[in-house]
Amino acid sequence: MAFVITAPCQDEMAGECVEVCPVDCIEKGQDQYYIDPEICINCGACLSVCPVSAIVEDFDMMPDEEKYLKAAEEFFKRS
Amino acid sequence: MNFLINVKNSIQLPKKEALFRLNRVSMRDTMVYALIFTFILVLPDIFHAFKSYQEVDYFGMPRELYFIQLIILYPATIFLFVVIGLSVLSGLAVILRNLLHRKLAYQQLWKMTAFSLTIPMIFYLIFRIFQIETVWINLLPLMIYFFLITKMILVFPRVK
Ligand code: SF4
Ligand code: SF4
Repeated sequence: MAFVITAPCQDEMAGECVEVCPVDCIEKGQDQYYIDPEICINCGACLSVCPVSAIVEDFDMMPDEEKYLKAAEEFFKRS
Repeated sequence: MNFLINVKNSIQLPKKEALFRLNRVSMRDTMVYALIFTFILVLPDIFHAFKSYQEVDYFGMPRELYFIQLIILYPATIFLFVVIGLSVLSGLAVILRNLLHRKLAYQQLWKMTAFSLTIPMIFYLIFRIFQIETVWINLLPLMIYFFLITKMILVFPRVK
């Protein structure tokens, strides 16, 4: 179980979620921010500060949003 | 309904699951929670003032004006003090956070403070309703708050 950042972040990217994440598991990518699913403790702090509701829990994800979890896993594999 | 869910989660603090559920509540809803709670807190005072209105002549103040003051202005003033109090306690929580080496933003501590005051305020309300005059009326809620907030901060992992 982890949190995933989805498409609305791409037009916003102000990084409020980074400020509140207690384990620093959110990083800036090329076109959006990503949450490291290995480190995220599911505290939910980021969810309440995102102005565009881009952050979802993985079990709430729509099928077409699953690619964002894969992209996050890829992103942290690379970095 | 949201209010009742938040009360239920607040009463379960400092349990991790309850804390993480409350973390998902927006700042706006937290303010609404504090506002409703303030109104509940001042209810005994409003009730007593209603009762004493018959007995006391408030310098000939019109009845309507007196009731408006009682129901709107009085809770609004107390709410202002509640917000100031929450901000001060959150400031103290920042010190605790630093001592415990956790990364928690001030706004997050503010929210945690607002919800962690639920149990202390229930105690305070009980003291007020039964008109128990004791030094514990302020001390006990504060002690419970510091116990709860410390346990809640400790739920988060240490900063590496
Ligand atoms: S707060 Fe929301 S929009 Fe802003 S960077 Fe984080 S996920 Fe993206
Ligand atoms: S749920 Fe908590 S730990 Fe996970 S990304 Fe959001 S703020 Fe960080």
